[in-house]
Amino acid sequence: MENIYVLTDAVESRPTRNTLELLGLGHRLAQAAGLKLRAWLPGPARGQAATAVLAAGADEAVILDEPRLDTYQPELWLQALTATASAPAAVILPADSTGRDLAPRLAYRLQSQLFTDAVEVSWSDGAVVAKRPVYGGKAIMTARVAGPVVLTVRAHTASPLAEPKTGGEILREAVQIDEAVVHTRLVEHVEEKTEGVRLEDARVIVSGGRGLGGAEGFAELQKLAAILHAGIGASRGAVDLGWAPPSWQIGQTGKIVSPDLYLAIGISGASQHMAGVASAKTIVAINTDPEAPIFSYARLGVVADYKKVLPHLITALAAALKQ
Amino acid sequence: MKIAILLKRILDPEVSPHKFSLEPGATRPSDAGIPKVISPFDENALELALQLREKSPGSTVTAISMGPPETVEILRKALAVTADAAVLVQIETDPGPDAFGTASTLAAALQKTGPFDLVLAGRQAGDWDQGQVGSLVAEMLGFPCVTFVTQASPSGNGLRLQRESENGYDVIDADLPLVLTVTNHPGNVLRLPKVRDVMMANRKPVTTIAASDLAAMSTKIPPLEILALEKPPAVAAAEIVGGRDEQEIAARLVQKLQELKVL
Ligand SMILES: Cc1cc2nc3c(=O)[nH]c(=O)nc-3n(C[C@H](O)[C@H](O)[C@H](O)COP(=O)(O)OP(=O)(O)OC[C@H]3O[C@@H](n4cnc5c(N)ncnc54)[C@H](O)[C@@H]3O)c2cc1C
Repeated sequence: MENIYVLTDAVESRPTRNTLELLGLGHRLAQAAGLKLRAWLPGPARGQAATAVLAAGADEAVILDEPRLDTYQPELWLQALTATASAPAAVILPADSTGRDLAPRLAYRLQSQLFTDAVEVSWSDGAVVAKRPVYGGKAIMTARVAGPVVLTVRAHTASPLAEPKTGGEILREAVQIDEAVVHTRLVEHVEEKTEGVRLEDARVIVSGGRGLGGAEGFAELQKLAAILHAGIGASRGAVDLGWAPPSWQIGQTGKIVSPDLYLAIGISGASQHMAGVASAKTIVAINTDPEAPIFSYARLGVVADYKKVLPHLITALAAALKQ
Repeated sequence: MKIAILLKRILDPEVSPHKFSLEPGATRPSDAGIPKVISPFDENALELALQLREKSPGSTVTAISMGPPETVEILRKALAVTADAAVLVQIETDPGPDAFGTASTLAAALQKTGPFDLVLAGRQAGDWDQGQVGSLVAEMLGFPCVTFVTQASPSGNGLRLQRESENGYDVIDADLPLVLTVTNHPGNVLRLPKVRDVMMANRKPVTTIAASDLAAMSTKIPPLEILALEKPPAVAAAEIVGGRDEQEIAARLVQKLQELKVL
């Protein structure tokens, strides 16, 4: 029988939010197709999450039992995934820096099709049908992919199972690793210090673009963020100018976020930026240009120079939130 | 170091959505009236190639692009920022979303014009946004690959790289030969050409290879079967919050936010 695979990640015994979404999606696909859902847990450390992975939708939690897989190393991971993918009908990876790194190479090694950045995946007439934004979100492509396919799926586009699933089996696979394939070596991982709330978890995000006019503008945004307990984001325009670090970039090629409130300040609303906030509940924009595309995505808009509005907004919010 | 940089000519990705049009049933947008440009991440990769050449004297940078004859425009731009050579892999129309097909043609072109120690590409093209070709070329050439690279410099017999990760970056040492896919960073914004170099670029030769003359690796993998290409559903325009002055606007905005219960 063919299998559907999901690549999972976990912090100790807790699968990440993204993993729960992918397992929910994988479970629904497997049910529709009458296939088995197998979850890969690379390295014994992730193995601690095996029980939770079964509850989140997998029929089998496959622990790749080799300590050198505990940390991400693409060449070793590709070797292990290729070796353990048995009759894959579909392989689901997150559309993040790991999944996007692996997907094309894994598809090539499995001689399968490749569909990246999916935002909707279903099973119809014996094949995967998937949708993805193209042209920076100006169009949506729907494709049918018969035969084995490797997919990456964007965060916040699939829902985790509503109720935990019971049953399932935990398997430990001993994988043979050959270090001769390693030509890229991690020297150091540098974590950027984020003050305040992480963007991925933030209920409120204040985000700035080229319209802020300089790095000082982001210092002003910090004040607003502090009052709102918000995370801080940026457009690519602001990142390229060095006003904000790359890890603040929101959008199709930055972070995909899902806050209740997204305050876009001095951001024009390019489709590539808006792709990162597609699931934000309420978008508010402050922009001097009444014709800026951001106003056709936002719920509320202010047409003004942010420098004149921000001080009043900070005072008014501070007063409102004290009550 | 012999460096190759893969460039794609695409519809200007910054064009506003209302100028972007799709004919019913078409599997590509209409390109009428929209300028074509070098895909932005390819520009970042080109800048990284030029920086590496500066850090490693004796290196050369060859720009390679696949497309119809007009694609030569973007190769001239690469020559104007002082790429040493340019190669056009000629096909009839702009490449579509068949990444396996594109990658196998490019891999064959790299083999024919190389050997190269380093191949650079943007992390994804700003039209189909798939993020596949660079890594597939690596597989087809049998080279290792590092994705989402922002900075690179020579180190020992290989390169020391910075790779963007979710909340920071990784420092990676990689052996040559190698493929890199590049993402944007303040340090790799493409330089402006000098007037004199623009004039020189018009005189430099561009080698043209017909894709049909290349022994492209055949892949068993069929292109995607596109069922539909549509505009996303329209969204309602914002309610503009006004007032006598900025103070009143701010107060009204806060009131609206409270009504929406998002504070
Ligand atoms: C393949 C690809 C991927 C991309 N991925 C991303 C991505 O992930 N994220 C992303 O953000 N972009 C991305 N982009 C870039 C995107 O197309 C835009 O170029 C970018 O988002 C523009 O940034 P911006 O809105 O800050 O700048 P601009 O478009 O220059 O907008 C600045 C805005 O500020 C306003 N303004 C000016 N002064 C003031 C003031 N005093 N007060 C208030 N408003 C003011 C202006 O009216 C204008 O609307 C991508 C592009 C490509 C091709």
